[in-house]
Amino acid sequence: MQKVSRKEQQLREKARQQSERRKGEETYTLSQGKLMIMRFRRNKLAIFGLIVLIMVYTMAIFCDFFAPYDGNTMYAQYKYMPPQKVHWFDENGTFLGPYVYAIQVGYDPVTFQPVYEENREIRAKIRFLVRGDEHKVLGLFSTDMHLFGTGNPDVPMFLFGTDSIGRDLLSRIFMGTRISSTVGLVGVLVSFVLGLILGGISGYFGGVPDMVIQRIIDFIISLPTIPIWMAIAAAVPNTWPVLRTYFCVVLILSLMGWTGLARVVRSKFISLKNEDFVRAARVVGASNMRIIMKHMVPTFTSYLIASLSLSVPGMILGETSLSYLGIGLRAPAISWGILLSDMQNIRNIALYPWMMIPGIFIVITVMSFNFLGDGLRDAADPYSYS
Amino acid sequence: MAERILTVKGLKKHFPIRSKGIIARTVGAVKAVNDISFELNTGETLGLVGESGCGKSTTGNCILRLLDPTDGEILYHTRNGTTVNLAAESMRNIKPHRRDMQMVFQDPYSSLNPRMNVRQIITEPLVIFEKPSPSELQDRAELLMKKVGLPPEYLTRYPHAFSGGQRQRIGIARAIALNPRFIVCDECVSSLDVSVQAQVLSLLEDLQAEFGMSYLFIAHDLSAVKHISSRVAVMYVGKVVEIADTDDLYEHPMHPYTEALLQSVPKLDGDKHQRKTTLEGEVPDPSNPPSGCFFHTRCRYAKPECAKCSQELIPIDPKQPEGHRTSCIRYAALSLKGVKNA
Repeated sequence: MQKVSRKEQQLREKARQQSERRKGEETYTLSQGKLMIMRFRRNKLAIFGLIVLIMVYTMAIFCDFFAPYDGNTMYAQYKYMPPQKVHWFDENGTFLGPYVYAIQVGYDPVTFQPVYEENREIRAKIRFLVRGDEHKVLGLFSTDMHLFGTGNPDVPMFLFGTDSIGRDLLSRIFMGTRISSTVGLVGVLVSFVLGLILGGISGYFGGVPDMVIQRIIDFIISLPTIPIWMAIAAAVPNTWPVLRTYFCVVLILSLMGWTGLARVVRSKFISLKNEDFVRAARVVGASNMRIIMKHMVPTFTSYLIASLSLSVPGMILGETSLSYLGIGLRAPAISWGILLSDMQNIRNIALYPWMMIPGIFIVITVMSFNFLGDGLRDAADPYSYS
Repeated sequence: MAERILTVKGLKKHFPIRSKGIIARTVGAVKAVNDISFELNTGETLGLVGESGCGKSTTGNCILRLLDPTDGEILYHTRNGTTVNLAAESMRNIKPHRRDMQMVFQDPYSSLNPRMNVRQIITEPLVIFEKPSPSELQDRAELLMKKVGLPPEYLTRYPHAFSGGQRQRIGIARAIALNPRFIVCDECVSSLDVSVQAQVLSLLEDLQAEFGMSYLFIAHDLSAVKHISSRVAVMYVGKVVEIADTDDLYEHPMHPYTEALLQSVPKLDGDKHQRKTTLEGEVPDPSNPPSGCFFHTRCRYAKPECAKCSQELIPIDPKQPEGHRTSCIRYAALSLKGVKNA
């Protein structure tokens, strides 16, 4: 009896070991990509950044639907109205769900500033999927459906207040997402391609091409940024449509932005060129293209990913500063930089502090990109974590 | 008489020294390899020894065209009887011959791409030259692993999971993937510890016995060279000073530099009280070598004529022009000490 059970135990032990070994091997043969995802998911901050960015870009695509009003609809009687309060309970404490009161406009007899008071008689519920300003979804079909709003043109709601001519700031921020978040992506893509190709040629082939490219970079770096921006912006005709100005701004930003990446790529190529495993690839007859794509670039992909996601915020901030200075995009285009450009004097900051809200959106977006970039870099580099 | 596979004639590799500044002028040259000639036969191992910086590795790199030679001929005698001058051909024309010549690198840590797994590393030559189907690739990879004595299960691992000796085996597997005709082993055991060296050396011997490859075995470790080589060439400041069959060279060196090298090998059972004849002085600057025999500045037997002589290799036995050769003009007058068991 005892003998049998011992044998059984041994067998069970063996099976356990085997299954463990198999399990070990399973984790072992995970591909690099899966390992990267595993490591990335462990990084909470990076996940947070990713979620925020997904939200930002969803917003950029469907901004007219998310925004309660069209960003250019004016409510002339409500100028510089402070953010409106959302109520949940009526005066007696009964739960009604979110609603706003209608606003009564009066004038301060001393300062002649408009004074906004809630009219407790008229309340409007905030509802989902209401009809409002007409817009086109994805530029394809027209609809007047908005995600939320009062649905009542006589009782508008301005959750983030209004600007100098009575446009809803919340809607304008939402609409601004489109330009502000894509300017970074498009710009980074252009400067990334430029930096990788020119830096690669410079480092891999050396000699005369290297010399020429490096002098071009020296020249671009030595240009004083803001005056050059201003000069180029001045050269962009006022009459150009918004879209063309937009691409012009992107182009300006990315033509200045590739130099840093090109320098790093060059130095990586130079140091890798004489690495033994690259020489080994040459001995086995690998072509230049194969050596670059299979042996050299993969060794610094992690750097490229990080630099990509870390340079997007640079572009976003670049657009913001250009528009803030009034030399980037111009109204009627809406971007976060344009929204902030109203805040150029102390009087506005003191009197209408809610106009700074777009700044919060910029900070959150930029920080999310940084978190994401850090997370990606740590995940892509198997040597970074200990 | 074994078949000739490689003939190196008057090979030179000079690295220009440029002046600093925007307009760089060439102000001199480091003559790393300075007019050397030797030959390699099929199935033999030619050891190439010498001090650090004497141009051994540069020679190997020139043969595989990792460096472009300054001058000279590297004649490769192909399988179908034609002869190609590797020193003069364009990279494009050399590529088809790359499958016949491979290299095992010195440092097993830097010569394997850390981002590729073992399968990708050792099958890269196959992918480039033969483009086999995935299943065939897997079979070939497993076969290669067996050949170099590694378990095929390790194919999916990355280089960092291996020890130095195992990595060098991976490097060897990559080198033999295409059944090359000769392999340049560039100090391929010098970074391994001694017990592993022996394993790798015997692996190289086994592979040679199986496939009949030739090795150009570059090393500074004389005992490893003696163990594996059938012939040995001794280099000093970019010149071959002596070339001979291994036993002949070790027992009867005909160049004072060879003698000094052999004497410098530390021995466990040596007579402690016997004064060692160690080399004194520094290796001459290869950009500005001395006149005449480059070794005369350090040679114990130097005579005034040594500062003027040429450094042609002279056969000891004129009837065998490819037998034992030395560049020392006074070899006949000297009785140099060899070693029996290095």
